[in-house]
Amino acid sequence: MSPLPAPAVLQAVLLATSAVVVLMLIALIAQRTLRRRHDRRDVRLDARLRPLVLEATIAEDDEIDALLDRVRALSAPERAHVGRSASLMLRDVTGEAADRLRAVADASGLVPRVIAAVADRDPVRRADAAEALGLLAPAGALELLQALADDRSPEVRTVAVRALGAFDDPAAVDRVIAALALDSGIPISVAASALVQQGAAAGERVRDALDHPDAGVRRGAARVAGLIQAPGAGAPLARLIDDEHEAVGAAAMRSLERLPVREAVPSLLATALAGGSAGEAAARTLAAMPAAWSADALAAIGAKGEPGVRRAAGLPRRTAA
Amino acid sequence: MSGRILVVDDDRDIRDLVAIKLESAGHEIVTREDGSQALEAAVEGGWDVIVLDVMMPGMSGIDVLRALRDRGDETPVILLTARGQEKDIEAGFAAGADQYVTKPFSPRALLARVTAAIG
Repeated sequence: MSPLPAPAVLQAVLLATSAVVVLMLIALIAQRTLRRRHDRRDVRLDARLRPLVLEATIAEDDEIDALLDRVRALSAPERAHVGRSASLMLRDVTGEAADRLRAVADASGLVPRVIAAVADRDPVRRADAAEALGLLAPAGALELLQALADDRSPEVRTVAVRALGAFDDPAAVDRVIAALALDSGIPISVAASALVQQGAAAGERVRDALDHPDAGVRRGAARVAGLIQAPGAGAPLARLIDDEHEAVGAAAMRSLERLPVREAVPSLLATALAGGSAGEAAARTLAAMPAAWSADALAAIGAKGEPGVRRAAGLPRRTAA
Repeated sequence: MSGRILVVDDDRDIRDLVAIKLESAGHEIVTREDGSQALEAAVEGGWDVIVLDVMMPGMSGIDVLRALRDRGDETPVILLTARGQEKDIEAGFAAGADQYVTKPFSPRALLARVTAAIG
């Protein structure tokens, strides 16, 4: 058994530990005091400056310049607060009010700060910058977002792709389509929503992506094609029903409910008669098509289809003979 | 034509953005920030239009709307919500909504809908 340390050593350890605890308590109190002071300052700034930001959203053309001059004349902390408020409100509005808020954010000097944050070491700051670039859309935002869509952090890439949804430039559409790839690390729902936001501007490129070698891109494009009514997508969607990846076929069938083409009927019937969940999806798509195209196929399902497939086609239960 | 409008949203930015836009058009605005406050104010009556958020803590906008319609209150209600899926829109109209506006929204377009609802 080892001997106990000398009482003097124990006393020294006790004193050192007590000193560390006291220092930690002081640091904690100082931190809380600073935070409270910061919060109080924010509340005061908000009470004074929020009306200015709100006023901007309803300003007439002949009033906005004077209002922006008032923003430019504010102190740096005040302008930073105005920029943050305008940026937060931009998430909620579109149209004229959004244009006014962008002008306020610009006058507050927010844009240079956002652009500087694109190169920040902290991925949270880079992600915030990506979101702000999408909302503020300053000159050069598209190129910066394209770079952020290749960021080493998947979270930053995800936010950048979501932000690209606000741009209808062909380069933005192409970058979002590339994000549908299986190995992109970006959730398909994010890239698909961005394409839906790009809407008609994405139509032709989404149609072309239906033939992409990557199954993730085909699946995403197939899902979006129906939602945005991509022109000329019906025939490629019909081909994708028999894609080697079941998820691609399922997405194509969902879109064909909104974008029906007659040439899809034979593949849909074959899939329906094969049964299972794919068969039920095919039956639902057939049921959504014009009766003149689908009547024979639905009759065949009624005669030979599984009960679940018949139900999905909206057919009555088979009565016992 | 000006009207008396109840604006309900738990998000202060949205409440204020809607209020300032409608006030700028000469309407009288009263704001509430949750479903139970909204129902309390709504049953007092005297509203020309109610602009109602759907997702709020506690009582949702759909709950408020159903409660109003169950009482026979036919005040025009515009639902303002981030939920833009088809099934959400169906649920809104099934509960008795007159209009459905998804966020992010255009305050100017919302004002046009309010004006149309007032008639």
